[in-house]
Amino acid sequence: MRYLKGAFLSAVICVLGLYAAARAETRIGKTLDEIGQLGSREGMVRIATSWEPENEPIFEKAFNQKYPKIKIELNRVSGIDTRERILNEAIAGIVDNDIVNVSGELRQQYIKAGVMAGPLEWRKLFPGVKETHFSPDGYFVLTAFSKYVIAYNPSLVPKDKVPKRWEDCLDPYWKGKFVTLVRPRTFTALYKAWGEEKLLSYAKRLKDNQPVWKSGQSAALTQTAAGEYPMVCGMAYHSIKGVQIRDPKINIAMSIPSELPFHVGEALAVMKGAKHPNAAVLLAGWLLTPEGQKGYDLEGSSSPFVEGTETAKLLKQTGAKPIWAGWEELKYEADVAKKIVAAWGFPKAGK
Amino acid sequence: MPTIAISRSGWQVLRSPFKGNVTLFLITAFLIFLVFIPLARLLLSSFQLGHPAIPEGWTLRNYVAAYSMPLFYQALGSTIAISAAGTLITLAIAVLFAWLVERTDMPFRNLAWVLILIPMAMPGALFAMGWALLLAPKTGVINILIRHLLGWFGVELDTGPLNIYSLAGLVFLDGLRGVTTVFLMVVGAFRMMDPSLEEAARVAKANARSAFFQVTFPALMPAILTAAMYSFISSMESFEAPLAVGLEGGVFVLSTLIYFTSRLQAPLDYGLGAVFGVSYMVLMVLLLVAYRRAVRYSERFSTVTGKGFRPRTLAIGKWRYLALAMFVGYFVVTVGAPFLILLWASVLPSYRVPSYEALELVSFANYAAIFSMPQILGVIWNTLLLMFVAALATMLVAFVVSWVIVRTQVRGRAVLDAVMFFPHAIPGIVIALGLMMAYLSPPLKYLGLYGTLWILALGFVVSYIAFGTRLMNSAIIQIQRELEQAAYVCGATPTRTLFAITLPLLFPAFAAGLVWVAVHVLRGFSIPLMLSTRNTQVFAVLLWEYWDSGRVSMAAALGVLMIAVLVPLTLLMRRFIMRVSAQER
Repeated sequence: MRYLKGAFLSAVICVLGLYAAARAETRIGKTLDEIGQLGSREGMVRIATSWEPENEPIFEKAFNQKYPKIKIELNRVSGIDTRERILNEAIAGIVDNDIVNVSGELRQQYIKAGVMAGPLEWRKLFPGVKETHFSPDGYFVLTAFSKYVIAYNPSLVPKDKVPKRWEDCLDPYWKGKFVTLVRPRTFTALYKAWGEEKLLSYAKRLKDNQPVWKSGQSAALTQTAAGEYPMVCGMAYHSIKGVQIRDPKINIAMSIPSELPFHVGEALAVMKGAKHPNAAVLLAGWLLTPEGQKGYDLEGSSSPFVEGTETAKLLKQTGAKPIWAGWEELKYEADVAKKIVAAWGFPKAGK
Repeated sequence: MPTIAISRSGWQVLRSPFKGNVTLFLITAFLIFLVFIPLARLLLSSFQLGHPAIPEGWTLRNYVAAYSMPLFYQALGSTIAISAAGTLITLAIAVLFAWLVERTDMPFRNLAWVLILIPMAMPGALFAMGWALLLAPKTGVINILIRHLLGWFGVELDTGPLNIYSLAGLVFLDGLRGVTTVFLMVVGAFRMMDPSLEEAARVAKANARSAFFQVTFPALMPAILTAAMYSFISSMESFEAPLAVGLEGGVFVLSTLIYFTSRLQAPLDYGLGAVFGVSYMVLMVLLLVAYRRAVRYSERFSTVTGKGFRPRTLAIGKWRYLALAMFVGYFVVTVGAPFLILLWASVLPSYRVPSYEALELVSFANYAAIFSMPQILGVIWNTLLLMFVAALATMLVAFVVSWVIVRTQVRGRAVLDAVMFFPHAIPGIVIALGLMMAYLSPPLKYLGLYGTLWILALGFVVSYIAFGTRLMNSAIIQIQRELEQAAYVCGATPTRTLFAITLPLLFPAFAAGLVWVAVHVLRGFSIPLMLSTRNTQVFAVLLWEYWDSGRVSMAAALGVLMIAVLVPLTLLMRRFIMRVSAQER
């Protein structure tokens, strides 16, 4: 009987130990050196990102030159639903990604749900990087910038009709002919420069010009290239680069508007319960170096704040006025998005 | 005539196989839990703000917002309009085809059966995607051809004339999609109709046309109306086609409104999605109640008698081959044309209108890319496992429940029957939303089902259990009780009798149901799109993600592969259907 009792107790202790081991979070090092050692031991990092699959080997090769022992595993995310799925999985206790690109509209929810590791001392860990790349709350690292332009099919749009300003989308010439994405990121980025009144008035007039609503950026681009639509008012620059990588002969061109809105593009957050959190921190930090930004040049979303990037050159060449709210957009983006989609007549209960 | 004395214990087993009805109570409770808990959570979420797992308080604002929103009424109107017009088209084609197959001397009737069944192998989403490529206003192949033809007559158009991204386009897709199912529902009635009614009409000097419209058609009206209501309900639930082409035309239906609100638009609004879901569910339950009432008295109009007969076939002379051509035409429209355009898209780097120049770009790179994807094996495994688990679980639950309903006399059978039929009224998208909300929040969150394949299987079981129990109910009725009684006499337990005697006898119906559910799991989009995660991705989700992200060629390649799997499965199902049909005869 005593033997049985002992065996039972041992079994319980083993189960509890295993449970505790499973629940225990891997510790994130305090200094960059310690993180480097722990990250190399972890050996891999799983990132949920919007990188084009074609560019992944380029990122990985460059990263491995600095961290040869860490393998990158990519989980491609795009649109809001994939990021929402990751949030739902994390709430349910499933953490398949070490570091995740969190959409602007979801950042507050990720914070509320408590699914991210941190806040972390990013600024102390990477003192050489401009502060704007780290969110003040310590959760997000801004590695890529989304900028929004006007895409068009050069075979269908005469040169004198190519829109050069956002107001050109309101021209009756385009009535019922052009595409606008249902996710209004282009326009929430203009909030900083335009203010609420002008922005919502613009949104209503845009709706009155009867755009064709589309949910997928690449889908809108491929249809435009195929000749179904002549123009897309508000398209991420990196999405255009993406379809051009996949099909270099694709018939699509872009117009850089005089006001060029920027958003926090790739805001990476280390997930709570991540198996490789140190490798994740190393990757995030490396992506902010000029070597890391070369990958984002290929993506079309490099930082305008890092010298020599494609984005910095583009701004110089075109003379476009950048509109950039920085991390402040975290406070208002979801609400402004709600107001815009409500102006467009889409369902919103509001708050 | 010799009689067999059945022991008292044997009768007791038959009368009360579940002592004290505890087991029945447990089964019913489990099934209620399965079906109603997600729906209760959906109702609860409709009164909450924020994410269901981290709610931000209680509110009535979701209802106020939903019911004061013009888009909701537009979506409701579009849903009803598409369903009504689509049902009329479906019925016209299905009834005509059933009549041609069963009551005329049309040649190659076996071929006609195959031609009308194969469209089941074409998932609604692929059908819509194919037609989106064929009938897009500017780049649709058919529109280009029509514009070219019109150009010969001096009519110059730069767009259209047809537009799939419209209400009419959705009616067209809906009208064609349901033909096979309605055909299967009415063809039996044509086959079994008492010919003496028509003979009496002919004796009274009615010609063939009058006999059809004044006798045959009214006599079959109950069966046709039942099929019409079923078709209408199915159309109301339609999701894939409105998702693939509706949004682009600004046409929302209730199912896409829910998906849009809780999956696509930013920021997502679960509370509003839940209100749409609850409203949709209430509407569907009302329709289902009407359907049940309509079907309840259908026996009064029975024209099938105990007399042995075979309805007379009508010679249609020179129209015979035109009749066959209609089946071929239907096949071309529902399978041939969309499949060919998907095949074309699948061999291009990105979609282009068919042309000589585009021929230079043709390659099998997309297929190679699919098979070299790191996740493809996982996706295939998930899909196959889901098909097997969901189909087997649905049919096993359906078999046991149907046996209780049909064979036993225990109290509460009617409740169980109603519980099993109820999910038929709940659209897949609503079930999925309810399951997501229920299993993401406490206490069900702690079961750890969210993010696993099991929650997808659960969704499919709930979705198809109504079909399974209907199928097994009618199949069990066909089996004589004496066979089971003999087993009891020999001392077999109810469980052993159930699985050793009844189930093997029901195998054709069970297998037909199994393949039907598996096929529908493979082609189903709404549940996987809402519930799958990275590790539980299935074929349909991968395909949709490529389509939605504009990688039409990759989506088309996946679609072609999916159809290649579905065609043999559908033909296998046909074999089982024919066996069930032969048994019923």
